[in-house]
Amino acid sequence: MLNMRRFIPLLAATAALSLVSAPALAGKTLDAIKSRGQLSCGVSTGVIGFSSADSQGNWKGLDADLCRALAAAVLGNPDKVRWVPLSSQQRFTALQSGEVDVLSRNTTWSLTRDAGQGLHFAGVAYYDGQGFLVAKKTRVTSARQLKNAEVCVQSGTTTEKNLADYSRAQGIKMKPVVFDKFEASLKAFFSGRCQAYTTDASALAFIRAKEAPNPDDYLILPEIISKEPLGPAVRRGDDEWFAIVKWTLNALIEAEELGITQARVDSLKSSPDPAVQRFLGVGEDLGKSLGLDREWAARAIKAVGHYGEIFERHLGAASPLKLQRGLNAQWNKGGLMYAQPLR
Amino acid sequence: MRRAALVQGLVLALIALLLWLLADTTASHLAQRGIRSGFDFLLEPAGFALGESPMAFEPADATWRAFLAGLLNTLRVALPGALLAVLLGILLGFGRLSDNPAARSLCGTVVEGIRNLPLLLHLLAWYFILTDLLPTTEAAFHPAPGLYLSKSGLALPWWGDTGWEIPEPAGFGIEGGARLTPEYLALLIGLSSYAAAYITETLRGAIGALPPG
Repeated sequence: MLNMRRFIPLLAATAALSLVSAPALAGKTLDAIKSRGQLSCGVSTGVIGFSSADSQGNWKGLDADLCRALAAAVLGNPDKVRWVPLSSQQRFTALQSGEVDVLSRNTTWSLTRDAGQGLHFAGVAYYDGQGFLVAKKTRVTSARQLKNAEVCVQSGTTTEKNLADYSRAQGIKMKPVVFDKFEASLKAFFSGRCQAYTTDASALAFIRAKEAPNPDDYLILPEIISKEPLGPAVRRGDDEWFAIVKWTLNALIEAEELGITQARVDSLKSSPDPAVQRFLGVGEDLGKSLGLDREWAARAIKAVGHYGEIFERHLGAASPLKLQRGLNAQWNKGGLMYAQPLR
Repeated sequence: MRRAALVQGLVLALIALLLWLLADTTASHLAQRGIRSGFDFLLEPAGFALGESPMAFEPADATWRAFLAGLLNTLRVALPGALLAVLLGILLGFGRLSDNPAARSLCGTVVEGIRNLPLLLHLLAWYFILTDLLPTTEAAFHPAPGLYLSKSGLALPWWGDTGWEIPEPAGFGIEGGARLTPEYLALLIGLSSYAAAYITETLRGAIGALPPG
């Protein structure tokens, strides 16, 4: 689901940039957010667990809560977010042109995007990887058995390229059947047009649970064929704002390690632990270097809870996806979530 | 006269200058913001495979070859499609002018039905028929030796790398011979029947315009 078209963003960027005289590039994003009174957050057009709108128009998910945490830290109110749903073709242009302040939209951090699209990734909010979904009646239990299989895939994505890479590296010939829309690719797979379906593993879990006619007829294969670190991105040229997004994400992860839950934010202010005190703004002032007040991190946790709580709510046992923590567990619990120290 | 030419030249130069300014400003702003652009990606490896291509195409091939394959794919649908449409159109046209009332009304209904539905609907309907109603590859419909019709399309004997090949089921797919995918078949049938309906009416009109005798 991670798109990388070059033309449309380029055309739009051309139009936008050529009309505007060179804007001031440093330190302006925070001022703009404050004077606007709203954080402009680029989200997906609907990926359950990451960012999707419910029937009342409330945005839910890991990516959405990251924006709420940012709004709470910067503006003091998690509801002061302007949600901008973006297709995978629109996302980078929207960030480059300044339409959104932060892109929190299940986007893979890769070299060409980081270095070639004029943006900075602030960290990793979810470690994903690409997998395969098959019908059990095909009796396939490993991706290595997919020789000559037709695989439904969404076009113009890193997913499509990973499939070609895997097929070449393993010497297993697979035939891609491409669709430019997510819904069309799913419908084709469930009608039996393809023997396998490939996309990010987190999405496969959702597709199997919610889209399959009968989830027990389908199997997610054990092979994970790519690394998809998903994280928030900001525009280049504003290091102050980059730091705020980076450290807010770190704060959510650090809070889990310190055991600072949404419910205990206030009561823990009297904790004797200096790390907890610092975090909650009763010890040394961590906000000053970021251009924020001393309670920024406490407000973020109070708004959405720590990383583990967010995960459980939207992706874990309490959600329809029922994903394991896996790579997204804390570093001291066998995962990769390792916050740089807040001190 | 001379002055008019001079003014024209000046206006042209001004427009050229403005265009150059636009391109230059855009390029420098893109570079300043660290956004890479240009057409050099055409020469870089594509990195993706093509589901269907009349020429050999590997993910390691340059991107421009993928565009070329797309162009050839268009021709692969357009040429047989045009031929089929003309043949079917002539047939239906004679049917509509036939003295037999059954043939006349049947052809009339078909042509009017086709002409009154949008092309996109035709394509979706054909694709639905081919991918939803046909059996899966493992249980392919096998009407004659070497012919397999399934959700994966139509496999038929064809001249291949090892001479005349008869398709055989192998693993998930069917190996050997030629394969027409459901996407190709839906496009070919949908486009040619749609065009045929218009050719029918053109033909009927042309014959009707001839003076009798």
